[in-house]
Amino acid sequence: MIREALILVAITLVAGVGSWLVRPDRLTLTPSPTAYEVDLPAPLISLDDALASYESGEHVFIDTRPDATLDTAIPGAFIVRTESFGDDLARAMDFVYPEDPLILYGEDDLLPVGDVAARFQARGYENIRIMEGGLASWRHAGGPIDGELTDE
Amino acid sequence: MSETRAWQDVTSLVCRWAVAGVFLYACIDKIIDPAAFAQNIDNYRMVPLVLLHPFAWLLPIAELVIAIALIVGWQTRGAALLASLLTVVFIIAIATALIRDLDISCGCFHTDSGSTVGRDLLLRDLVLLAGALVPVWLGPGRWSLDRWRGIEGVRAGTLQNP
Repeated sequence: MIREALILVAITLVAGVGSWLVRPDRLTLTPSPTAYEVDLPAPLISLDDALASYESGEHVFIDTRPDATLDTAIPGAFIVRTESFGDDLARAMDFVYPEDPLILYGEDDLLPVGDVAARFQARGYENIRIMEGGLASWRHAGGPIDGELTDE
Repeated sequence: MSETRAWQDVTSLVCRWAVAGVFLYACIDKIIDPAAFAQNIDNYRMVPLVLLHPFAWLLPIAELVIAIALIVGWQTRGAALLASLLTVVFIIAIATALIRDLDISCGCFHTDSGSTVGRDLLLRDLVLLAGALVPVWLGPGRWSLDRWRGIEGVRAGTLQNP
């Protein structure tokens, strides 16, 4: 059985190398270090730094998830989403000033968060960071969530 | 032919073809668009960057080779063993993604969209694993190239009658 499996592995390797040689759209053998990085309009902040920043109260947190609610957000975060950016920002404007340092977060996918960051930048907000990993990673790292605090 | 043997042959054939069908369907999109599949794999954050492209290139070809081998019943036990091992890798990838709360597309059948990683996928892969293990256990069965080659080999004297 192991011998049979090894024969099939060998066929796979030969077919793989062969197809790699003849296919015009072949992948590079090694991807460039930036090939799979998302091009974001604002720099990333690591989860650890975001947690430290939350503890020190340096930054204002912005929840960009489309289904964000205050009882599922990071405590103290403002909700500003792509779909209702103007209305959401108008509600938060009395509290969130353009000079404030912001940390934006969303789900695991950073592209929608980047979209909100770009809109903030267009309104003059310049000190923006995007949290790596999103809310699920925050929760997994032990960061507080409003609803969970209420439950306890 | 005993009734038990007949059932074993039918069961092996059904499982071989079912697993082959899944692998065949799964490899098509990945072979067409390896770059998108590489992105799918990268989303799991399990494969080092240096291995990402070789993995994305070879995995769908392995699925194709395994599927063809299972359909015709050639090197059947080896193919079923490889299918089982690959499925275990998929299960580990999905389980670790669930543990890390990753909200990602699984990249199982379609590279552009598809099922989000969840418990239902874990269950589906466990069923696939069970199906792949059946030919490992029961062997290629009556309707397979392996059996035909065995009979021909014995007739020609190149194989010993077991």
